[in-house]
Amino acid sequence: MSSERVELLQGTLDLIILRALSTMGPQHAYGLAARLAQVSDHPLSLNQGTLYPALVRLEQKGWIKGAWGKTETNREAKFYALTKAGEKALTKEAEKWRRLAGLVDKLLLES
Amino acid sequence: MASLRRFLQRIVSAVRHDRAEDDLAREVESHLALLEEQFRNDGMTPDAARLAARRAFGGVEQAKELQRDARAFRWIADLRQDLTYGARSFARSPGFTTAAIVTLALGIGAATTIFGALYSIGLRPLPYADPDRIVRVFEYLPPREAGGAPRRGHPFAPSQLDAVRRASTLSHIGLEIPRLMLMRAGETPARVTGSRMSAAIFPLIGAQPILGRGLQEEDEQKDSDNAVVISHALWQQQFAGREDAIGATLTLDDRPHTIVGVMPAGFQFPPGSSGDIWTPLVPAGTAPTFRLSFYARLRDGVPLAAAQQEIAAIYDAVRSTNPSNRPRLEMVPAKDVLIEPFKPAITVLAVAVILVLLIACVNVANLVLARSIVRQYEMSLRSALGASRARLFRQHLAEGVLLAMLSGAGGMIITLISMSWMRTFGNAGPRRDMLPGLNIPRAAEIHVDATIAGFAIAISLVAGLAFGVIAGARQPALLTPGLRREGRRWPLFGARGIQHALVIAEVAMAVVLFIGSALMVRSFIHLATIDTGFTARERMTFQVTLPPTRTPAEVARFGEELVARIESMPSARAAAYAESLPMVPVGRLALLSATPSFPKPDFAAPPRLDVRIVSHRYVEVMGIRIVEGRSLRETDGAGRPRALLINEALRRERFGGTSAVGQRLFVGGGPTFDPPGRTGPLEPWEIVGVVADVRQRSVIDPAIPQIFMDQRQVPGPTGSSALNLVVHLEGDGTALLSSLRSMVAQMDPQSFIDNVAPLENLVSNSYARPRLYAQLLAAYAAVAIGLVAVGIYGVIAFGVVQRTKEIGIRMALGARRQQVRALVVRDSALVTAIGLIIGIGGAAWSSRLFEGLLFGITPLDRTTYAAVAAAFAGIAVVAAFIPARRASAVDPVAALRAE
Repeated sequence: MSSERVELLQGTLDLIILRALSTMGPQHAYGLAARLAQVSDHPLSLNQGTLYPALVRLEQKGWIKGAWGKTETNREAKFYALTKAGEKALTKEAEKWRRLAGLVDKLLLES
Repeated sequence: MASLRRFLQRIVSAVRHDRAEDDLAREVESHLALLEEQFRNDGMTPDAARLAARRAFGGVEQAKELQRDARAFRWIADLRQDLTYGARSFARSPGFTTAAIVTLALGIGAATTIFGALYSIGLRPLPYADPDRIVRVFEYLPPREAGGAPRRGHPFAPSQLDAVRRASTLSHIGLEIPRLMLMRAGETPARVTGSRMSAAIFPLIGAQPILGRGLQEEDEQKDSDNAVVISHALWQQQFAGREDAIGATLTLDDRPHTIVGVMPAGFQFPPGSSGDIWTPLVPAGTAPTFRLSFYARLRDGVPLAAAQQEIAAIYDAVRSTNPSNRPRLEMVPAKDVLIEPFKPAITVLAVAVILVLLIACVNVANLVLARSIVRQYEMSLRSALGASRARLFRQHLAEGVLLAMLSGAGGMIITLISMSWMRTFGNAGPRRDMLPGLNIPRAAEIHVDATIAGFAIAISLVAGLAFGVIAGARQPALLTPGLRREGRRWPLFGARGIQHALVIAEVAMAVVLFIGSALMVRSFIHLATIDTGFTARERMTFQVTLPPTRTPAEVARFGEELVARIESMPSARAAAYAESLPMVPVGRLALLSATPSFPKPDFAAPPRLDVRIVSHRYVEVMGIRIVEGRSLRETDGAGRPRALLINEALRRERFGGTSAVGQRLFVGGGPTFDPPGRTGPLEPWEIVGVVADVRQRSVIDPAIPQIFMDQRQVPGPTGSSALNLVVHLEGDGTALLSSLRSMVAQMDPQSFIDNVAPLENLVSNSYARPRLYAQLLAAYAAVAIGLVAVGIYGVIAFGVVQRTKEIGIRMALGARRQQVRALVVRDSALVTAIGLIIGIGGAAWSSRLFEGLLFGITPLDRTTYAAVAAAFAGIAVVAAFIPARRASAVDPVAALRAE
């Protein structure tokens, strides 16, 4: 039961990161976390460190690629960019998500 | 795709741990710095900003840990850690580590060497195209003696092979006859070995020369066999690898031969041989009439059984037999023939090395067990600090495997050394050309390949996991109590029971091994001290080869003169020559009859007669006893009445043991005794004396009926222009040997001397294999006994240390030192006695493995069993002696105060 929830959460976070990178272009972990806090209702509900497992997972899948670079304030940071495979995956995952969300919505409305 | 990619990445990341860690640390640091910057820009003080950044990020270590889990497979990282920890822990106890690794390396090395050697000889595919389709055919004739082994022969004469050639199940057939030739190149002539063989052998085995061509059918159509294909080694040696070797002339047996091809390095034919020349088998004139070994290739898709059936039908057709009276025919893969000489010993050797390996494992298991008891405290501590039981168990497994892998590496070194020894000595022996000696087939091919390395790794891994289980199995129940008791006190919980059981098993296995090796050694001693019927001491032998163009009379004249010249030297007492010497498994067969006509040979009752063509003083020089009549004399020369010596076995067989002197016999069979140009009736031979039986072909084979005749009286050609000389030396014979070559060269510049060896070497060479087996088993038994002694000592000594307190109490209550000593020795005696009984039972049960390996001793020999039992009783006492003394030296006050 609990493992399914983690699975869903994981997938969601992956999708959010992919989407964020797709709209904002290459971002470092802090930038992503800030973006997440911005769109989320509870800015402190997410520890920024929890992004790291998702990032390494996506990178190993070949969907994003990390490279060291400089921020506007001239600090070094690792910037993640969406790869070609990542773009395709985003379309597919988003579609999957929409279908799932639609199904859940429908079920919730019925009851 | 993406998940596979990730799977691989996770493995890679685990291996490239450090780099990923650095990267992660850097990234997290930069993240925190960015956060901190943000908060400072929002107006916080630097300190507050740092704290806020930490808060926003969450636990740094937790985040890293989660990232690590996602990044790499956790178990790989754990394994790394376990192994690092294990290595450190081994480094801390070098005594234990060295003992365990050396012990186990011996076991693994012994097992891998034997497996590797047997694999190289008998299992590794032959270096030919599609080698499993190459077969040979043998017939098995009834044994000479009741209860003897069936004799293997070749089923077809060359003239009958045309029928075999038409067999629909075979795609090629080819004949092969071993060949020994004299090569004259430069100053010193040399003997080269090789084969006369059918041109069809080349396509049969799929052999391709690297230069020139192989033998072809046109070579067989000529009336002389002057085409020759040479080995890579001979090409390098004689022509330094030059291409103009093709077409060049090589003088073999004093006839020019034209080199038509050069084979690649490592090419061998027949399988397992190391020949240098291959000449065609020319049918006309020189082709032999006797039955020959042939090779065949099965047609694609034809099963062995079908081909064998067809061959049997062909056999019936050409030999006029039918399935009821046909001797047993067998078609076997060519590869399987090579391992045959070792077959009786394979099981014994395999069992012996497995026992050595198991004993080594048991010893190490005992060490591991003792160590795990000592490490109780450490394990309890780790458990209390949060290590799970599974984690601790895994730690034990990792350490076990690490230990076994280190031992495996040591074992591999032992294997490499022993294999290089086998390559060097496998072919050694003073008369390589004629004697089997050790003569390990494919000895040059014995090396470690992936299969053999895999074998070593597999046994190491199994042993390592077993150690891990032994050490880890009894851990969990004891964890907390182990910590609560302070310091070095350990609970017993039956650990000593396990140790004792292991030692009993070890003793039992060592007893089996020891009895086996004692039997083999005693059998070997029996062989080495057997009365051969002749005197080998002070006898030097050598071979003189004359050009093949010499007539038999010329050869005999040369021999007589050489003997006379040698005998005139002060360092020789007497000399003689013979067609072949004892202990050389070649001989001449002939037929014997009381009338000039000979019955047709019958393969169901084959003739048993060994013919020795010698010089007249041969019997004397060899120290063979004359039991009746006289020896051959100087006067029994050409043109004189034919004189014959027979041995006691023949007298028994033909004359019922009564006097045979004066009887006449006809000797027939082949052109030697019945030359093609003979006119008039066959002449009889008169028996002038009877000599004692001698072991002729080897010390193992008992004497068979034998006749001796003077070379000067042999009517036809002997087919050989080589003479074997035997000299009874006066002193060490150095003077003789140094002048021998010049003397022979002076008599005939084209003659050639080699195979100089004391007769004693020929005798000992004939039991080279039994000696090797005895040496191997004795070495294994010695290792096993050493291990067992150490094993008993270790367990008893450990028990004494564990029981120091108990012993202290006993002594405080009035036990005398002698009683304490007896207590300890009793422990040792008990485990040894139980092990001994089991071991003797095991040895008796496995005694049938020794069938065909023991000479002059039965596998259930009581003396051997009793001696082994006594030896183990001694070992038990000796192994317990030091611990017993230590126990009796315990100071009760100190012992009680210590804990």
